[in-house]
Parts: sequence; structure tokens; C-alpha cells
Amino acid sequence: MMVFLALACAIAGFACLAIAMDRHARLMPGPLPRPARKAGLRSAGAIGIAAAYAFIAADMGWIMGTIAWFGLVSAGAAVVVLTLSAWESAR
Amino acid sequence: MSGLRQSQALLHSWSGLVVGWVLYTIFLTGTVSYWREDINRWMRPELGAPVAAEEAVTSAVAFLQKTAPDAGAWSIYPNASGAQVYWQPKSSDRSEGPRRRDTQALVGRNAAPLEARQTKGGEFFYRFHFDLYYAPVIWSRWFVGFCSMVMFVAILSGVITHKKIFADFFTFRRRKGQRTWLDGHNALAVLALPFHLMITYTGLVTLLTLYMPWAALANYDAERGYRDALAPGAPAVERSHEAAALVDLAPLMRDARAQWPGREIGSIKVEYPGDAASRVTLSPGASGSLSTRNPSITYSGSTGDMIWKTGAPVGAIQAYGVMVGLHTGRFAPDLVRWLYFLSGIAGTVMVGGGLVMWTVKRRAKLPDPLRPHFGFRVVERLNIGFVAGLPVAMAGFLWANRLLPIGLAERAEWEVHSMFILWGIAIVVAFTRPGKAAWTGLLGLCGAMLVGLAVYDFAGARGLLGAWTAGDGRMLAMSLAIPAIGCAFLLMARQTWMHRFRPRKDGTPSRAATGVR
Repeated sequence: MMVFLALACAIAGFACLAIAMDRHARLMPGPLPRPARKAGLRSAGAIGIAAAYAFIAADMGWIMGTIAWFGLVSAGAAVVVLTLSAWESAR
Repeated sequence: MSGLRQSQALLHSWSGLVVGWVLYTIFLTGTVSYWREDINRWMRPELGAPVAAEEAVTSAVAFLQKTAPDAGAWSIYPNASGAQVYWQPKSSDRSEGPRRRDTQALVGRNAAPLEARQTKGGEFFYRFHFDLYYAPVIWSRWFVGFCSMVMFVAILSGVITHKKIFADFFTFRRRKGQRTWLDGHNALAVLALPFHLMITYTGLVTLLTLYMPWAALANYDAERGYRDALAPGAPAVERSHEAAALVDLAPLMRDARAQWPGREIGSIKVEYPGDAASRVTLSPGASGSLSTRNPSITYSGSTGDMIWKTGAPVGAIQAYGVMVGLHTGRFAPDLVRWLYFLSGIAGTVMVGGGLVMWTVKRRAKLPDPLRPHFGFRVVERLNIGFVAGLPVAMAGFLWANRLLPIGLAERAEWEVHSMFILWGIAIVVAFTRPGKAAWTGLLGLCGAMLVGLAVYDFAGARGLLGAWTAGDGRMLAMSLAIPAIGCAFLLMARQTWMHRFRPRKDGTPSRAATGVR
């Protein structure tokens, strides 16, 4: 279960990083985020990705956890990329 | 900066093209090798449910005591189906040169050898991804090593060429022709970049002593001394010619396992079984440790006392073992194995997509896109023959495993020949049929073959129903994954088939700017 928690953190983290960028923020309702909000989103994104590491390392130990983290981060980012592009082409 | 970027772009597209077909082959066959053990079992449907390691070893010892009581040595490898055993006939003692491995059996429960169809199984894909086939192994390894070096060049020059790694990090624009190919290639490369760098570098490291033998040659007199330094063991012993019963191995296995927390026994070697000087050496299996350099413990075979055990690992050997371990992923629990597999698929699609993009980018600039020059046509056709042809051939390998008669002479070899014959036909199709028909036909054929395999197997021991009723989780996963991959190929075939009918926004037909003609 920690694995899914870690993956969810990675996805949420990358989603925050993505909507801190104007190109992807346009998909969200409302005005584009202001610089202060963008900085907040970026921090939230970094925290999410770090939290993914904390969860997976706590579950699998830091050696196996590190390897799994690299894979989970790639997978999480891929989920965000595919979601954004599907969303964009559906509009 | 733009001068550098341009030269790197040139380097990237040409280095990628020259070795791309080989890299695609290495990536795809290497990626499926993460399921080597499972493919091994899938291709031997005669083998039943897994046997516990201790039971398998006890059974294997009983078999060997019956079959080869006076052998020079027994080697026992507990695996998912039972225990693979090898023995040396008495005449070939250690002093008499290289060990022979022509006497072997797979032993199941109750000391009974298991009979399964002759096949190379998943080992074939694994060996093929660095040894190739038909060509001499050493030449193949040098060739694969050269291609891996060029892969490195392509990765690094690709990173430099990529204008906006961070700005385009999440960008994948669909249905935009060349743009889509580039976005997809970039996304697959960037998102799994740590994997691509790791797998290429550690791949070269696995064959380090072949590519760079000089340090070993300068420091060791003979290969033997160097091998002993790499893998130290208990000092050699002579046969005492005094009979003594072999101790029960199960307590030794428990004792050794207690010294390697979280690890299972991977191999047992018994030297001079039945002799008072006999020795039993145990090593752990791959799971539970990153390094492929395994420790070992040696016990007396007549008293069960411990004689020798591996000391703390040397730094250089440990570093080498960890890199090989990272590459092969043998340690990987299921979750990490899936991540390895998905990353490998990302690498395969990245290389295949990069090859297709080479033609996509250039087709738009051709004087007459419908009549490309010779070099362009060769690249275009080889792309079809490899990117779509190899999966067809691999599916054919699985089909050959099911269809070739059990009693056929050299059956295992014929499975492999079938694969290459099919691949050859696919390449001929790629060169003789119109591009679009060849892409659609081969992708669709691969999909149909994989889905068909699930249907053909449905009630068999490795099919959905058989694996479900046997409660065999791993084979159940295989029986679901094969048709799922088949459906992915059918979807790709559908995409290539639909392609022609979608005009671009500026009104020109899409075929001028796409990989499909």
C-alpha cells in the first residue's frame, strides 16, 4: 500500500510542477497563476516527489527504495504527461 | 551555442540511425528478459506447481545418490519448478581440466526427473540480447559493446540537442505529425533518462573484462588466478577414498540462510559425495541482494561442520557486482521488476520512435515525397522490418514452442530457427509491400498472433483457465499480459491504418509529413 501512496505522491508532485507552468496552467479554470502561487506550486511539487521517496524507502529500505523511487518517479511523470495531453486534445 | 547544438543534432540523428536497429533489438529482447524465469516456465507447460526449496534439494540428493553416487561433484540449483542438477562423472575430477556439464536433469518431487519439451525458453531472449545468434559469441559481444557505446553518444548528444528539457517536460502534443513523434521521443527519453543512462553504462560494465582485459592481464599470470581472485572459495581438497555418508542438507540450508537474512539458497555444490573428505558449498540466490557477486559457505559433507566462508567483499568486486545487479534486475521484487520492464519498454519505444522520426523529418523535405531516393527507402524499409518485424518474430518463437512436435530432433534449435525465418519473411514483406500495408500488416499480425496464443492456450496448463485453476499467480499474469500486449499491437495497427484519412490543418495530406506512406 505504501507503494501506491508513493506513486500518488509522485503523481501529485508532478501535477503541481506542471500547473506551475503557463502552458499547462491554461487547462485549469480561472486566471493563470501569479508568480508567488507558481513558487508555491513548485515547492509543493518538490515536497510531493520527496514524500514519494520517504514512503517507498520506509517500505523497502533505502537501497531497494531508491531504485524503486527512480521507477516510480518516471511512471508518475508519465501519468501526468499522458493525462495532460489527453485533456488538451479533448478540449 | 547554436553551432554546438546543430553539430550535436547531426551527431544524434546519424549515430542513432547507424546502430538504431541493433539497439532496438537489444532493448526489446533485453526488456522481455526481465521475465526470463517466467518465460522459462511458460515455455515448459509440462512442469507443475512450484516445489519448496528444501523439499526440492532433498529430492535432488536422493535422485543423485541413485543416479551418480560416485560422481566427482554434484551441483544443485533449486528453482521454481524443482531443482536443476548437474553432475561430473567420476573420471573427470577437478584436476583433469574443465568441468563437464553434459550430465544434467531437472528433478521434481520424490527423486523423479521431470520431463519437459526441449526449448531454450526465456534464456534465448536473454542470451540473444548480448550474444546474438549464429555469429561467433565473442564477435557478437564486441559488436553489441560497440553499439552500446554509440547508444551513449546518442543519449548525451540527444540531451544537448533537446532545446527545452524543462519547458517541454510535460509536453506531448497529439495528432501533430512530426511534432508528435518528436514530443513522444523526447518524453520517453527524458522521463526515463536515469534508466537509459544506467542500463547503457551497466550493460557495458557487464562485459568489462572482455572489452578492457588489460588490468587483469597485467596483474594475473593466468585467467585461473584472476577468476579465483574474483570469486574466492574454500581451498581445494583431495578425495580421501574413505566412505562416509553425506549429511542431511536441510539443516545446512537453514544454517546458511540464517547467515544471509532475507535470502534464499540459490545453489549447492557437493564435492566428492560419499567420501569422508566431501564438501558442501552453499550460495544464496539472486533475490535480496543488489550485487550479483554472491557469498558462499562451505561445510564438511561428512560431519556438517562449517569449514570456510566468504569474508567481507572487496570494494571493487562489490561495485562490479552491484552494477551487474542493477542491469540484470535479478534481485528485483515484483514491483521493481514491473518498473524495470516499463522503463525497458520506454527505451524500446524511444529507439523505435527515433528511427521512424528519422524518416518523418526527412520525408517532408524530399523533392518528391512519394518517390524517395534509395537511401531513404532502405531506412524506411529496415524500420518496418525491425520495429514491426522483430515483435512478429518473437511472437513466432512463442508459437513455435507450442506447435513444433515434441519429439522433433533439435527441437530447441528449431524454435529459434522458426523465429529467424519469420523475421526474414517480415523483412522481405517490408521491402516489397507499400509502406503503409507493411506497417499495418506486420503490427496487426503480431497482435493477432499474441491474442491467438492466449486463445490457443486458454484451457492448457499455461492458459488463463489452467493457471487460474492451479492458483499459479505468475503464469496467470503471463496469460493476461500476452493478449494485453497483443491488443496494444492491434491498436497500433489500427492507428497506422487510419492514418491516411486524417488531413492536416493546413489542408495538405498527412502522409507527406508522417512515417506512413
